[in-house]
Formats: sequence, structure tokens, C-alpha cells
Amino acid sequence: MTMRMSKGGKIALYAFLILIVIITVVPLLYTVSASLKTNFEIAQGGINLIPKEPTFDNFKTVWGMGSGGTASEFTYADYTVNSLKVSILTVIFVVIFTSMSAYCFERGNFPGRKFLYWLFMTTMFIGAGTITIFPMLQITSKLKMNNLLGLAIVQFATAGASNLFLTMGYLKTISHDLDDAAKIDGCSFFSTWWRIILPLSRPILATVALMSFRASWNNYLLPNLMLSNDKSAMTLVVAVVKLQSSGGAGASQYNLMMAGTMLALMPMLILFLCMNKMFVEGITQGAVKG
Amino acid sequence: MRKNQKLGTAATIQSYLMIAGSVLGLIVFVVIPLIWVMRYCCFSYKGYGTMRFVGLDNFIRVFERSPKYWLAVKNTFIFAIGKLLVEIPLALVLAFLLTRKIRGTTFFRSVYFMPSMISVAVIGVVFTYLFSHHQGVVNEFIKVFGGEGVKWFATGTTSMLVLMIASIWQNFGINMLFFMTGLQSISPEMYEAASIDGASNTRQFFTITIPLLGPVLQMVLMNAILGSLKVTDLVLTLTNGNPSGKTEVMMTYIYKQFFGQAGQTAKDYGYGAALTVVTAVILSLVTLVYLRATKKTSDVY
Repeated sequence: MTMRMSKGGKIALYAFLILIVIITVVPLLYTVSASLKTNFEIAQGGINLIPKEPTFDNFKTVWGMGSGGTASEFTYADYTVNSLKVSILTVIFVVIFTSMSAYCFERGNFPGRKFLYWLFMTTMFIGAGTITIFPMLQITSKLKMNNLLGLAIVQFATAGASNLFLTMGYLKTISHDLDDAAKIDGCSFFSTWWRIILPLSRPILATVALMSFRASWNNYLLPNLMLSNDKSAMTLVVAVVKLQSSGGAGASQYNLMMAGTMLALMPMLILFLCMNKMFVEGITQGAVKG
Repeated sequence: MRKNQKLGTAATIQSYLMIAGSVLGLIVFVVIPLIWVMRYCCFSYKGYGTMRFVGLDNFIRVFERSPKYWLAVKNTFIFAIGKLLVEIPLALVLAFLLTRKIRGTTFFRSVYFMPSMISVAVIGVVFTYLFSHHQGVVNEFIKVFGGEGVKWFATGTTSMLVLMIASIWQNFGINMLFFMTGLQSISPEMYEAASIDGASNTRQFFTITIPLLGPVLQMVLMNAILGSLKVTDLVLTLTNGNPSGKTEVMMTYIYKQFFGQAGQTAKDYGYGAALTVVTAVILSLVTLVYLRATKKTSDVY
């Protein structure tokens, strides 16, 4: 398309776009910077982005300390592993169950199909989230689910309808001829999913997996409340927030706080840089086209 | 929903088995908690002892003796309106610029979207540092330009401002992405024709982009409004409602009714449940009013 623009206009345009880039990036750059500075240097103030004596000591300290900011049985290394465990489990649950239920709603024909679909759509929009978190926690306590596996199950159950939407939309584009052919070859309803639909819907499931991983890794309220009695099961994001509010060593030590923050956000940013396109597609399709 | 062909008993049984996991999860962790809230809002229950039926007392308390809740409601709306007034136009303008043929679209888009990848709670931690009174980067910048450091978290207004800035910073990119998807469906010929007729870029933006973006704009704005009204994690980690409740929002107030915090009076779950119901009604009212209002505007075009 034509872009009739004077040279001055073009410069103004790029100046604006670059200004927004700076505003976006500066908070992150200072986070990186503070994580590499000594606490003494941060306390001196100033706006220098490059630390005078860059050091990885903050990361070493954080990696080996507990959420209270002091030496402890469980450290940020454990919290990172916990976050990974929960996120991987959540992804597995979401992908398998979303794929199956999307297939049943899209291709199945069983009594109650419309009602169940309606139930999914309405409750997902009203429910879940902060509003019902208290009764939900009472249920998890009763079921003795206040552990990493339980957290993954709850995250899958409350993940929202957008995954279902996305996957059903994708299934619509897979030809029914394939189902029919499989049926003629003697495939049951289930094995048609297992042999035909599941492999063919891999692209959309990859997107769903990525989105669920992000949601789980970044989750704060639910893991904080669900796992509050189990120090061994704390997740990284919860631990980083603890570092901020604890009266321990972390409270006024921004260097450690920012090193912890870096641990929590680096994996997400790296994942984003590697799979930029998939994230962008997943997010826009889930919201706008859903 | 499409009507599918008959599949036979075996397929029906297999369907139920395949869907059982998701349905069970939905019932146990979404439907039952919703019913719980509906039930408890008419009881007084402190978490121990017996629960007592109190009829509509909890609701009367919400409407007549809960100034803190209504302050939180007011704060929530100030927060949502304030930040969306910046966030949505910014997202829209950026989306408009990036869908024209310019160099580096992918780069700009990726950078703007980056903050959306980060945990809201972690962003709260980052902004606590950036805006802290001593050592905070923002105050250091102000000092470099000859100003005096601001105690950002000491007054309600400045605390609210920091919340808005943090939230805009995180969300403008994702809204820009939504708008870009909507804009890509507008045919380039429209702009070409307008250009030939001599319409400026600004004019094209208001006469082509905005009207044709209607449905997407309506949806994105809806999500953005509801998302801002439901803000929780950011407030908990950045201001925790301080100073003295001036940045408390609906969700954090309800949260504290259930989970308490230091120096607070005894919890009452029945009252919390009533607050939940009232808040849900407020959110649905906003949705209804919004949908009616935007229906009128989309009729205009």
C-alpha cells in the first residue's frame, strides 16, 4: 500500500516508535543492571546502566538461599525446579484433555453434548479467578491436593475456554473425509482421535502448550495460596514476591530482588524470542477470532 | 453448533470417557466453588463454629456499612479508566503505524509485546524497585534533571499513578497485537483509494481504520475493561492497597476478606461471599451497559 509521507514525517514516525521501544526496554534493562550490581552500588544511586564492577554474585547468592532471604533447606534452585515441574505437568494435562474434549465437541454426537459445551463456555467466563479462589482452596485441602501435582490439576481445570475454542476452530479445518476413511478401516471413535486427529492437530496444540506454559510459569495467587504450607513446593514467582516482602535479607537488597526477578523472567523472554511467531498467533487467535 | 451424524453406542461411551476429565475438573473446581459462593452469601460463618442463616444481612452490610468496599470500587474504576485512556489509544496508533508498510515491523511488534510475557506479580516487584524513594531509577532520573525525589508510595494519587504506569507498560503491546490482527483484515485498496483522493494519514485513521475495526475494537476494549476491573496480582505486589486503602481495588478487598492480613478484624466468609456476588453483578452490569452503548455506535457506521 502506498504510504505518502514526507521525509520529516518519516523521521517523526520512527522517532515515536523508537521512543516507545526505549520506554518498553528501559525497565528491563535496569532490572538486568541491578541484578549485576552490588547492593552498595545501587545504594549510591545514579542512573548508570553499566555496573562499575559487574558481578554474578547476586545470582550465586539467590540460587543458594531460601525464600526468607537466608540460608534454608530449600533454595531458589528448588523453586525453579518446582516451577518447571508444575508448568510441564500443566501443559501435559491441558494439551491432552483439551484435545480430547475439543474432538468430542467438534466430531462427537452424544446426549448432553450441547449442554456440556454451554456449561464450559458460561462458567469459564463467570467463574474461575479470584472470585472463587477461596472455596476452590477448601476443596483442594479436602482432597489433599495442596501439592505440585494438585496445582497442575487445578491450573488445567481453570485454564479457561480459549484453549477449547482455539482447538475446536482448528479441528474444523481438518477434513471429515479423514475421519470417515479411518472409520472404514475399522478405527473406533477413540482411535480416530489417537491416530488421525491428535497427530494432525499438532500445530495448534503446540500453541496451546506454549500459552499454558506461560500462564503456569507466571501464576502467582494460586500457587501462593495452595502451597503456602509446604515450603518445599514453592514456585519461583511466589518466591520472588516473598523476597520483596520478607523482613529478611532480601527486603532492602534490590540486587538480590532483581537477581531473583531475572530468574523468573529470563526463561519466558528466551522462550518468547525463540517462538515469537507462535505466541503472537496463539494470543491473537485465542482472543480476536475466538 | 453443527449437527453431527449418529455414531453408535460405542462411540457415545468413548466420548463420555474422553470428556470425563475436563468435565470433572470443571465441576469440582469451577461449578462447585460458584455454588458455594451463592450459598454462603446468606450465612454468617467465621471459619469455625457453626454457620448461621442471616438472610440478606450480608448484603445489607455491603450496601450500608462497607465504606471501604465502595472506596475500593471507586479506586478500581479510577484505575481502569485512567490506564485505558492511555493504553487503548496508544495500542491503536501503534497498530495502525505498524500495519502500514514500514521497515522493522516485526522488531517493533516483538519489543512492544515483550512485557506481556512477564508475570504480573514479578512486574509488581520490578516497579517497586524502579519507583522506590531511595535508589529507585525513576527518582534518580528526576534528580539528574534537577528535580527532587518523589515518595511515590506515600500518597494515594502517586501510588495509583505507578499502578497505572506498570499496567499500561505491561498491556499496551498485547492490545496492539489484537488491533493489528483486526487491521490486517482491512483491504489495502481502501487506503490506496483514500490516498489517491488526497486523504491524509490522520484522516484515513479516523475515517477508515476506526470504523472498519469496529467489531475487533469492541471486543478488545471489552476484554481490556474487564481485565482492568479484575486487577489483583499487580495491586497485591506493588501497593497492597496502601496507603490506607487508597489503592485497594475490588478483588484485593474481597481477597483480604477471605485470607485476611495483619491487623484486620475477624474474617466472615458469608460477608466475603456476599461481596463476591455484588462484585460479579457490578462486572456483569458493566458488560451489559458496554454492549448496549457500543451497539449504538456500531449502528452509526
